Order: sequence, then structure tokens, then C-alpha cells
Amino acid sequence: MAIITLSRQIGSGGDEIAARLATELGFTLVDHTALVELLNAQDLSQPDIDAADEQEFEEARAHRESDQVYVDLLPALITDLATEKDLVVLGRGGQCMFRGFPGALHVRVVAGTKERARRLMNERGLDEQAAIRLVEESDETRRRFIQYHYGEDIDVAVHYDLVVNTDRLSVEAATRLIRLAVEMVDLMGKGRDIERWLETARPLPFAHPSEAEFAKVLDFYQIRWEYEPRTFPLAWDEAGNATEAFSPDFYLVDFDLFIELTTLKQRLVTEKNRKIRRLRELYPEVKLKVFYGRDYRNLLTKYGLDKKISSK
Amino acid sequence: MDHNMIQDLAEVLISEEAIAHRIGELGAEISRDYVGKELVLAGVLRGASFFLADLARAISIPLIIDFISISSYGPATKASGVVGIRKDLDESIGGRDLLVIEDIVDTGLTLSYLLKIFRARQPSSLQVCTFLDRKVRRIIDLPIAYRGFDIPEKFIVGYGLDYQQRYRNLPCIGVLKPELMVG
Repeated sequence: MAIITLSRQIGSGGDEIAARLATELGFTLVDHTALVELLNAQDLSQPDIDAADEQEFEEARAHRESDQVYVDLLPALITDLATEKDLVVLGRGGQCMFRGFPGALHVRVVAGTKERARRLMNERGLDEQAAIRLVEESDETRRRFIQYHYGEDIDVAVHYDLVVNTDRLSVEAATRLIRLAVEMVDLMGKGRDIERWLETARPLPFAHPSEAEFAKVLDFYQIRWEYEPRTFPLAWDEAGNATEAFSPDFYLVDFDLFIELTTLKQRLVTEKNRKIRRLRELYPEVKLKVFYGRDYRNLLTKYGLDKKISSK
Repeated sequence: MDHNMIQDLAEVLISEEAIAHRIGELGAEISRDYVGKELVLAGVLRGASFFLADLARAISIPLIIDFISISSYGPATKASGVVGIRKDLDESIGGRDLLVIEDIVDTGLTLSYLLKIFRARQPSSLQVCTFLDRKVRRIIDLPIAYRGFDIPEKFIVGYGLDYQQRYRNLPCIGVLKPELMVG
């Protein structure tokens, strides 16, 4: 089905634009309220949902197991919904989830800091200092949410089909512009192929931001990769069913090489190492390289993701 | 007051004398291997400039020198998506014997890209000579015909390798004092 992803800055009017688009086009709005309903059905508690959602996102908490569940569930729930309904996906990395889908229009709604603070002062009765602080904190939280889950910079315009600045454009004008774009690209027509796209071309959500970053480095150097394309059974029960398995993170197609990145704590690394040893025993023909936490941090340093960098 | 860069090093890993000696050995080896061939040294800028200059003078057979520069992944380039050639070779390498000169090979990602684009130009032969080899970071294993030194996982500068574009002109390879690396 057709999808409009709408990434917005706080105070930009993006929430209202998303609601209007949903109403006017008859699309389903996927916002925090809708997600709470979806996730409640998956037995997640309200505090867990709030903490893991972009509004209260804290990187430290994202490592918790319950939040990891959210990371795994959220894109799956939204994409499942997209097979049944036309959606307006508000925030939450929708532009990353549906990147490359011809039936998706990716919109970013922005406005200047001062103007956004002014609106927040009016809407929420804040003083100027508090409003500016709220703007800055929200921008930073959303930036980190996208960086953490998808390894992307939320402010890079190339991720969007349309960037609308509401400093001077009204909510009505912005909504009309987006509707015009929906018509011009025949969004509804292109949205019909969603199931085929989900099966064949959908970018998989990475289990960890370090994997997203690694994928981008590989893309940069034009090295073809697949994400977790193969699962190697490691142990079987009496009926011959696999009881233990291992799926290396990446497969580098041209080099017939599997790569596993591990940023886990030592206790968990020991378990993973045991699996890797077993894999090497059972599948000696498989080429696998493992990068541990320190090695991976050194890679990040090399690629400028740490400031102590040589440009080589 | 004079600022001697050597004082900025916590330790010297490879001395100027050791570098000169090893380059002499490499030069002799390459001179033997490429007798009667049309050798082109392709230096990868900027790091390999010092190594190429010294190595070329340690090789006794006639050769052509050329340079290539490609963008590397980092905050400034990652938004643009893919690696690009900033300065291509000036020489045609089709039918010639190309020896790629690197200052350092670690992940192998840059080198794998370079080998791919050079291979497409159909040189008679294509080999790699690297001054330093940091195998601990290797993602993609590539054949390296000539290597100066194996080095450990340390942040190093000198002899073409930089920290924020400085220290390339150190005559040795060393580890910078941590307090000089601003976070």
C-alpha cells in the first residue's frame, strides 16, 4: 500500500501535517498512540514502550533486552501494517524502513529554531529559554534515535523526497504541497507492489547500530554484502531438528566471506566464541572473520567515527 | 623556539635507518622481479608519497611513476555514499606491469576498490607493495607481493602517515603522545 513517511522537528507543525494528510487522504496515521496500541498487543508495558520510542530515547537504555525487543518489533509491525493499509508514518525512522520502496514518499518538515521555540511558547506556555531548550533536546534525541537504529544522519536532505520548511509555509500549504507530490508520483499506484518489495528488496533492520555503520562502510567501498543470509545449525535433537544455530552478521558476496561483529560483554562473548568454534568444526569450508569490540572500535576510529582520526 | 617533532612521539616503532635498510631490500627484490618488464609504480596519495619516492630510487631498472587519490570513508564523505577517484592515474596502464604502492594496508577495503578499478584497465600484471601491513584489522584478504613491515594495532604517524594531516614528514614511524591527540 502507499506510504508517506514524515520526519519532523519539534514545533515544525509536522505532527499536525501528518494528521491532516491521514484524514484528507484516508490513510492510517502511525504515531505514538497507534504504536502503543500495536505494541500493547505484543505484551510490552507502557513504560518500556515510552522509553524505547524516539521521544524518550536514551542510548544507554536501548541496550536493555526489553528495548531490543522493541527495536526488532517496531519495523516488523509497521511493515506488516503497510501490507493492509495506506500509512502516514510519523517519525520513528520510517524513511529508513521504507527506503527504496517506490510506493513511499519521504517527507521532512523543518523550521528555524527561533520560530519553533516561539510556537512552543504559545502552545505550551513555556518561557523562551525553556522552549529553546526543549527544541534543542528534542532535536538531539531524534537525531540519536535515527543514528542508533539506522546509522543515518536525520538532517541529511538526500534521505527525503521533499523537505518542507514551515517558517513561512503554513500547515495548510505544506499539506497541500505533500498531497500534490503524492499525486505527481502516483503514490497509490506504486504502493500496490508492497508485498513483492517486502519479500525481495526491503532493507533489513539491523540488530545493532554498529552493523548499520559497517554496512555503510561496505557500501562506500562498493563491496557487495548480504545481511544474515545464512543460518548454520550447530546442534540437533534426536528427531534431527536444529536446537542451536548461528547466523553470522554479514556475507561479502565477492569474497565468499562471512563477517561477525561483536560488541558484547565478555560473558556473552564467551558463549558466542563457543558457537563460532563449533561452526568452524562443523563447516570448515566456511570463511568467517570475527571482529571483537576493541577491533571494531579501532575500525570506527579509522573511518572517522571517532574524532581522533587520521585521514590516512 | 624550534619544535622537533620527534619530541611529540611516545615511542619510535621503526627508525629512519631501519626504513632505509628495508627499502633497499625491497628495491633489490622488485628490480630482480621486473627485469625486462614495463614497470609502473602507482602511489596512493597522500600517504604513499614518501615511500614511493624512496622505493623508486632503490629500484635499479627504468620505471614510470604515477599517483592516484581516492576519497576515504569518514564524516565528510559518508553522506555522498560511495568512494570516488579524486585524482586518477595520468598514465595508461593497459599492457603494462602495475605495482600499486601503499603506505599501509589494514582493512583492505581501499585496496580492494583500487584493485578492482585497475584490473578493469587490463594491465599485464598487477601487484601490491605496501610499506606497512596491519593484518589485525584486515577484513578482506588480498595478495600482497611486497611488504615493508608488519605493525601492531597502534595509532602511528610518520613517513607519510598523518594525524590530522600533520607528522607525515617525520622520517620514522612512531606513536604519538596521547596528550597530543585531542578528542
